[in-house]
Amino acid sequence: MYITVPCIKYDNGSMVPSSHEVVMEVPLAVFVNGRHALTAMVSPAMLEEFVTGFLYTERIIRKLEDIESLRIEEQKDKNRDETDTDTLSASVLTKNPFSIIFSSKTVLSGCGGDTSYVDAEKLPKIQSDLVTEVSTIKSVMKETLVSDLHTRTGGIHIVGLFGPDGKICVIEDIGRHNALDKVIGYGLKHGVDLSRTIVTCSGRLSSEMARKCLMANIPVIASRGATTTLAINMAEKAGLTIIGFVRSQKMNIYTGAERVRNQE
Amino acid sequence: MNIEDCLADFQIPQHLHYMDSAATSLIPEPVIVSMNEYDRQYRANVGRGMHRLTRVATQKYQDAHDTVSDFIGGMEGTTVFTRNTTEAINMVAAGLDWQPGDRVVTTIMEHHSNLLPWLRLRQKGVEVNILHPDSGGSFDIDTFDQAITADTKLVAISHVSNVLGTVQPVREIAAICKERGAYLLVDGAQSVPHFHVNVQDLGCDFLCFSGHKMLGPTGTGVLWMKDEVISPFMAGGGTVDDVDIEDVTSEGYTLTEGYKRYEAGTPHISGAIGLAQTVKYLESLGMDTIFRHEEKLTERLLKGLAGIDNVTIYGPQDTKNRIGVVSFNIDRIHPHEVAYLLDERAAILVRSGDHCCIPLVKYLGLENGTVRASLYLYNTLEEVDLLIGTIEEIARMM
Repeated sequence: MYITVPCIKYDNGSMVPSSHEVVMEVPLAVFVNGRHALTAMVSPAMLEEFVTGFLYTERIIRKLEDIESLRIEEQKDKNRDETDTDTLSASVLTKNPFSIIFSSKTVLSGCGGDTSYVDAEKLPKIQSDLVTEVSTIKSVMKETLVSDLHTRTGGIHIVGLFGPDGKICVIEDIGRHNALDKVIGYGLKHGVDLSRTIVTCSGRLSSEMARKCLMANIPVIASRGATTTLAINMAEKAGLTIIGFVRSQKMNIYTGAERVRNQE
Repeated sequence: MNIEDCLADFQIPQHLHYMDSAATSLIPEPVIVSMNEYDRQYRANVGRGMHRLTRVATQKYQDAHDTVSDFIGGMEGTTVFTRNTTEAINMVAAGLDWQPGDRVVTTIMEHHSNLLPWLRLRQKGVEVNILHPDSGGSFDIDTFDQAITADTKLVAISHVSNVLGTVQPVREIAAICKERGAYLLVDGAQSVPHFHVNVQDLGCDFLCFSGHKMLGPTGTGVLWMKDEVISPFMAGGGTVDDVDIEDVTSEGYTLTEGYKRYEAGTPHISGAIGLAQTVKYLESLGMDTIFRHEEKLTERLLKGLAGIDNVTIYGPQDTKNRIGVVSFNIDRIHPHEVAYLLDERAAILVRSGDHCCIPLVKYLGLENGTVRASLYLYNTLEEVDLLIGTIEEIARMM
């Protein structure tokens, strides 16, 4: 997930040759039924989960079983230098490969670079009677943010999935949207009832993060960071609970407050 | 799916009583559909392009290898698609680095396809040691223990005899091979279709079998190998990573890894896809269920034939260590005539003659060979009773 690279460190007026751990970023070309669907810049781990989650939140698949085949392959390039970034591809066949016509698009990892092709006016509403506690939100956020990789590199987003029995998974990626897709993919592959889960995040809760929760029917998303007006707008319409700035003794509940009890 | 339900997937049994599955099995509708789907909807060459159809076809073709490999527990090795068992065995015979003085141990029970490729090696100075079974077609394991010596390079044996239906003690032979450093090649043409075969359990180095005997398409077969120790039979399209014609010190090309290096040229793509569908079909029924069904049929057949005067059964007389490949003769009637009469009188289709095992039928003193009824999952007890009844009529007639 990271490589130690040389760098010049400037510190208090002096420049010193040094090194630092830098997080890995690789392009992943995804093909669905023989057609290029997207190229995502991702951290090279849990790629099957990423592709599964992405296809699910884009409604390319409605359930895990709609995927007939998923192959992750490294592209061989005989001229490639040892230090060059690997090129990875994911090829997906759905159960009925010729019923799907998929538009090509490129997802750029990071802030606000990507848009879904799912019609924003037709987003599903959350179907869940989950009620959680303020104390639970605080503890799952604390559990999420423990990251050795983040400490080393400072360049990683963390997204967690928590159920009635606690942590289901915590996944790191260079992009928080990628990490959320990986979390959702993980949930699907492990048969998790997502309507009973809470997603936690280290970064900003954009409308895209909210949209993915709606598509996966995840009722609560909480973050250490901020949210956006569009995300709040979307969440209000669909009954999603958005909680921002979760810190040791504070948090802002922007939408769906009826789902959060305070028994402290 | 229940085994009785599968009859709806086959057309021929609605009209005829097909008992020649050891030669070629019937093919169920879902397998035909999967092959037609390729030709109609995504026909393209594999591994050689960027367009959507070639991508879909390539992925289906790769997945087919994985499906078949997983079916035999062979994910740790290399699963190569061939035309049939014969081609698979020949690839090993042609691909190993033979030296004068090397020994091959095989048996007189073998189908010609698992005998002639080894006999041919005699021209290279390879000694071929051919073992003989008892009259029931079984071997004492000591026979192998004595025959497999330190200079034995390979032991080649059929898992199940295509004449007598006898199951051979492959695991025990594998243990001896491992101890003496010999490769073990198993001809699984008659075993893989009928019961669960796992290469890790067997302990073999090569497993060869045919798709067309296990409900799959003709022109499909498999060579599974534990390690890629053989040189490719053919070189050509799809087998290389690089070609450098200026490099005169070597062959001028670098072979790719995995099954691709052994599959030169455009393969039988629809066949591969059909073979994978076949495996899924068999798995949906369950290999243990198939085995038990055939065991029931075989038991009835052996019992019925044993009760008819002038009929001789060859091979094991009960279902222990055998499958539903049953060879027999009626005194004073040529096997071909019996087969003809079964067809004309009762629409029962069986095989007759030497079954590509001339050395064995000679060894058993059967100048004209045998009549062979071979059963599969689509056969029924009623059909077996019809066979017994018709044989009884023919035997009485003479």
